[in-house]
Amino acid sequence: MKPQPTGSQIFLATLLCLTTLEASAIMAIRPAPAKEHQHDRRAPKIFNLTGHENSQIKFLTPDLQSSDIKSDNGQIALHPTGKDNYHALYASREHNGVQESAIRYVYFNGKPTGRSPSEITFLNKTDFEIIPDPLAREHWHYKAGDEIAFVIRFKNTPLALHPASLATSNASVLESLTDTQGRVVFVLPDDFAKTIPHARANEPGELLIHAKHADHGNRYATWLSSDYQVSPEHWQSTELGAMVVGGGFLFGAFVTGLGFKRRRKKGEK
Amino acid sequence: MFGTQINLSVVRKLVQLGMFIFMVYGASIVGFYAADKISNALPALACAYDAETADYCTLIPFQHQMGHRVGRVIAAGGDVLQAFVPFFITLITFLGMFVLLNKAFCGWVCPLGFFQEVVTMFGQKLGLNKTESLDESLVKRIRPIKWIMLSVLVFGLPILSGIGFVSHDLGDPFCKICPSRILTTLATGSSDQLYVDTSTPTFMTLSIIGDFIFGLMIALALTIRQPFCRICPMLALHAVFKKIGLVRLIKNGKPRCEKCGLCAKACPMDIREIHTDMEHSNVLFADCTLCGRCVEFCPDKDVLQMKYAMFPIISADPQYFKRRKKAQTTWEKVNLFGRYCNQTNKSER
Repeated sequence: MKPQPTGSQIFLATLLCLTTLEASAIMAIRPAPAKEHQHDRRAPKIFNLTGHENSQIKFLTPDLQSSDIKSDNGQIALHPTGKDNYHALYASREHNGVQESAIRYVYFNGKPTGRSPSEITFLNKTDFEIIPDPLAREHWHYKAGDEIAFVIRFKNTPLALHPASLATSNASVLESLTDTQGRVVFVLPDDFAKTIPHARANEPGELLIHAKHADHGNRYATWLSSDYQVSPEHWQSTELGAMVVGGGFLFGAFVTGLGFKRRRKKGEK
Repeated sequence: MFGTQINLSVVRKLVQLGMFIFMVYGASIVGFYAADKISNALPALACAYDAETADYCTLIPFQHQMGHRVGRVIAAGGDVLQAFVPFFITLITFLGMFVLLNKAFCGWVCPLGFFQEVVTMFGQKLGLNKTESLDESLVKRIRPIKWIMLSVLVFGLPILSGIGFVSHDLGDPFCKICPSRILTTLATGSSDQLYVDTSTPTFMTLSIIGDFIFGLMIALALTIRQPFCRICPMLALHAVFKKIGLVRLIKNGKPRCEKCGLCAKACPMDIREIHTDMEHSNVLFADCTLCGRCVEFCPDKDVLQMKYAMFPIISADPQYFKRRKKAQTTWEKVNLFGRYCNQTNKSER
């Protein structure tokens, strides 16, 4: 029997296809394969940085405190900060004449900082950046079938009619252009080969948004990675829901109709 | 206080409309993320499942804190303080808002309460026969349900799910059956929350109950005032703290009250005690939503008053009563099948 490629192999192959830069120029932050201890909220979250050579890695907390992070051969361990909400993990480097950057937003539980995630997303972190507009709200996730939007920004200016692409670990590739406000919208493909009918039972997939840019002879490339989950539409039926609502409505109409009859009978007596 | 055309009910409807728009679509003003919301502990059913909401109903954090914090500490031990601190923060935030408007959050702010009133108006305009008041025995049988909803669905089952006695699927059972979740998401053009979930028997049961209640509520609201409000756990939660709120309903009973009863007839929650209670001056009962209709329809000077702390907002007044009654009669005459209904009414007489 011919061995099937794993999800991460497909994902990396998709990345290679996506970029016209050298294969080694890909830069992406992805979660390390899950281990038992990662279910512990106090355990560090482990990520792998593809293209870590000569990179500078930074970590930004929800209250915008920045710190330098060192990787162990591309592996990054993020310890809980005690601050609730999205944190930004990003890396940048110059590679073969291209200014490259990669970013991932990571959620930690903790004490509220009273700061909006829009502060961390719109903060100028690198010259060329992909900004989620918005991020999936706290406790929410990107899901297959969702419309997700990003702003492509260069030196604080949104880039109009700029190409961007989305690749998933389930081998989907989408390409699109930003609008006049620099905003690009993708509909996440429903591309999970196998789904189990329960939200928590399915492993999330990985998505990667990529854009590149040239300015006065300088070249830039950036990647934003995130997870996305199976659409609950696989086990949730809107049609059935509407039918049950209709059933409830008819039952209510029947009950109130009977009520009127009873009153009339009482009145007649 | 009001001009000849404007009365308290009209003002309240306008406020409710504004609050509905703000609560259901207000994310563009306050911001998209949970951290942007006004309180995360609103004393009204503005739903966290609505992507465009301006604030969250307090029942959602209560359920999560019972399941994720309190229940787990009971089951596995740990820092009791850490288990209860988030709950107390939510409670204090809730009370901080609640003290300002008291139970008026139900009658003036809640999107679901407003929706039911609109459906009732729609039913009346369709010429359906409105049930003026439910039977007293039925009202008495319904009243305990809100306490059961609060104790079982908001606190009981989430704690038991945190302890591990019941499935984790019962971590937020009230939200799973709350009609506001379906209403507010549909109002934003999303059908994400209108579903039957077949993933587990628990989710399937809860989703069917939730959908059924939503349909039932609409049908009942066509002819019965505030059907879901009568069993809403938020009404019960308000009732626990009603004495600390600044808005109050005061009665200075007179002998004429015994023969009148217009206040009780006007009450959309069928609180007959407003009429019958001659002992207490504080007539803010557990089921009251502080809509103010009892004050409007009281024909005797200053018998009923709605006050903010010690300052009167509106007092019963014979002249106002006449205007209000006339306005109500005029309003009820106007419907889509006016001629048909008038003929029906005549033949019924």
